[in-house]
Amino acid sequence: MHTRLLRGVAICAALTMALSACSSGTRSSNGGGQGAASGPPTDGTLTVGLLGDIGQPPDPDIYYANNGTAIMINAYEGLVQYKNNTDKVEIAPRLAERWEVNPTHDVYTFHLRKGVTFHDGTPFTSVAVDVAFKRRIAVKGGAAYMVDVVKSVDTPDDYTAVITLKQPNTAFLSYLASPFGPKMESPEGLKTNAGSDDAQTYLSSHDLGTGPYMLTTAQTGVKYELTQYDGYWGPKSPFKKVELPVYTDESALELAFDNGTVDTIAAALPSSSLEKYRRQGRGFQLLFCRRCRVRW
Amino acid sequence: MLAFLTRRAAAAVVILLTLSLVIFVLQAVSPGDPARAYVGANASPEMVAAERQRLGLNDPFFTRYFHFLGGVFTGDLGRSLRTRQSVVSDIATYLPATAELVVTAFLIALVLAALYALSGALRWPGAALGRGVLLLLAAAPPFLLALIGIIVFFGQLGWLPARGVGDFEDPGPFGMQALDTLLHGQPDAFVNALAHLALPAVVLSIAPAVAIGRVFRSSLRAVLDVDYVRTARSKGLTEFQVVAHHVVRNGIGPALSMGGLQLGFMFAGVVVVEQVFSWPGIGNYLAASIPVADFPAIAGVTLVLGAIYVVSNVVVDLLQAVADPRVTAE
Amino acid sequence: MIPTAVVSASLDIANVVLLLAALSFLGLGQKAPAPELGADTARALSQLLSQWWVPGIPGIAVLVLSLIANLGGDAIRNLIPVRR
Repeated sequence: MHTRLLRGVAICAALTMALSACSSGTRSSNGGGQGAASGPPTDGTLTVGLLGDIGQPPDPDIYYANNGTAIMINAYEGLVQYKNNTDKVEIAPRLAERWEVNPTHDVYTFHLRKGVTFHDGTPFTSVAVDVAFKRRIAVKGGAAYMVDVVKSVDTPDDYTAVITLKQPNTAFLSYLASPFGPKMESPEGLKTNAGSDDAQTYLSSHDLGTGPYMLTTAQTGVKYELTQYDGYWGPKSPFKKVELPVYTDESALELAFDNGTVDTIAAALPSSSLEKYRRQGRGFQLLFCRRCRVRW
Repeated sequence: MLAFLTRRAAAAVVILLTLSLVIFVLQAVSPGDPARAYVGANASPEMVAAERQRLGLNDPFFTRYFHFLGGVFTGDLGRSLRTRQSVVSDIATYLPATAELVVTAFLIALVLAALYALSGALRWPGAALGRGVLLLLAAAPPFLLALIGIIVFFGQLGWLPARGVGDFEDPGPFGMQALDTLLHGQPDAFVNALAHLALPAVVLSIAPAVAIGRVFRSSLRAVLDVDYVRTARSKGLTEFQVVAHHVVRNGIGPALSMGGLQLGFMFAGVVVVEQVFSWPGIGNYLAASIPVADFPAIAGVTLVLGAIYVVSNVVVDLLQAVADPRVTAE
Repeated sequence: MIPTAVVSASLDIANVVLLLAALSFLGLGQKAPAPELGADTARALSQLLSQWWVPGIPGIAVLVLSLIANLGGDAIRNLIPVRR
């Protein structure tokens, strides 16, 4: 099992600033500032400032860096996930509603959620599990080891996937739950856009996932955009669009946050600026996480 | 003319070959490891080592160098390890935005340089303050100037945006936001594009403006005291006519040289400016490739920038030969 | 010809100082903790909005160095008699 310590380096570990609901006013979408940040955006677009590019193409079988995790887990989904809003490490359902593990931990049976569609409109069925695992091995990205242990995937029916491992492995569920774990990709889409590299070129600027948002723009080093997927099976967020402009400089990002151009920054504020925001208090929510322990 | 061009072309080839060798040697001794960025920050050391092998990074130096050189002669600069696209297509994607920025900055620099030189040579009252301010700004490190510009014009005043080419989609064929929106008759988008272009272009233009301006002013001053100018003055021509017809044409030579030189340098200076403003050009591409030691991208962009510099030098020499026939094409 | 060369040369000194600062900004300068004005400025840029003097003072030092080189070149040029 991989555990990694996210240490606060020069920048305090995970610092999330969310604008709490105080005064709400319409926010201009971009350009020069409107003075101090005026509350959560009411025009349906959330602007998340990225400090530095995400580093790799937003392809779930390649991506194994840190800055773009939010993009990956919103565009794609895996069979399971870690439970939200709790500090305990618990595996929760995502695209699989329930599962059984045999006593020797080498056969995992997943019962899949019905009514899920990929962003290209095709339905999610158990075949996708096998296709996703095979692609991950073919692409040989950094996280390919997570499915190296898989011997075979059987699909007795459209909504059941039986995964047999080469040898017993108690970490397999954690692999599947990890933000970097295998994600479900549309088999039709992969076939159509395969090209000569297993659709890697296609997935560097599009997505074939099932998540609540679709990747509509991916310009390396410039900006990323997510647009809400209307056919999503789960709860709907109030944000129809999420824009992620790439800032290369902390000061520019901080200024953009101050004047409302950017609504949220995550893990990108220099510790020297913390005092300023702590003093301002009103209107901001600061979540501190020194020495977060993250398991995946 | 033909002999001149062939000689310069041959020299250019030698220069670029040497440049490619120098880049490769520098990369060989530099500590970066592109395999790490290729597999992702969370990958295990074994994966990184395996990827190094797979990418051919453990091959001997000359194998890699000749493979690269072979690619250059067939127009294939390899595949970027960061974007995973071909370097040639990356450069083609990003070059127009840089060209737009550099040309705009160069035009601004020419205007500023002319003002600097003329105000100095003709002793316009009160202009010394303006020249002093320009000199001060040009002496500052460009990234600091850019950031202060952002703090003042974006943070405090809110007049100009801090990053990007524009908030609208680029409609046009050229990959240049301002030009494309103008050609498509989209006034809002065009003004927005100009607003985004303003700060980076001005920051980029200041140092070259001062460089060209000082050379121009120095040569103007040298010419202003010459005999034929005194003759012109004594003929009763106004100062402006004297300057326009005699002084400028004779004094412009060194300024032209410096202008061409600065244009070439601008393509290098653009790296820092594009990085600070997240401007999607080849400067930003290069700045992003450096920390991850993306060899093909760095080598490709450096060669392209080197070629631009060499070509701009040749063009300047040609222009000088045309403007002043006394200068023999050397 | 010589005044132009002198002006160019003085600008070069200023250029080199600024070039070193730019290289440090891009991550190619001397590694910490080696003291280098451009590197000190570049590395501390995240504190520009809160403790401005940390990047500001090395930055001003670079500016002053470069300014002196420029003005020195001017002074030298003015000492050389103009062609009559």
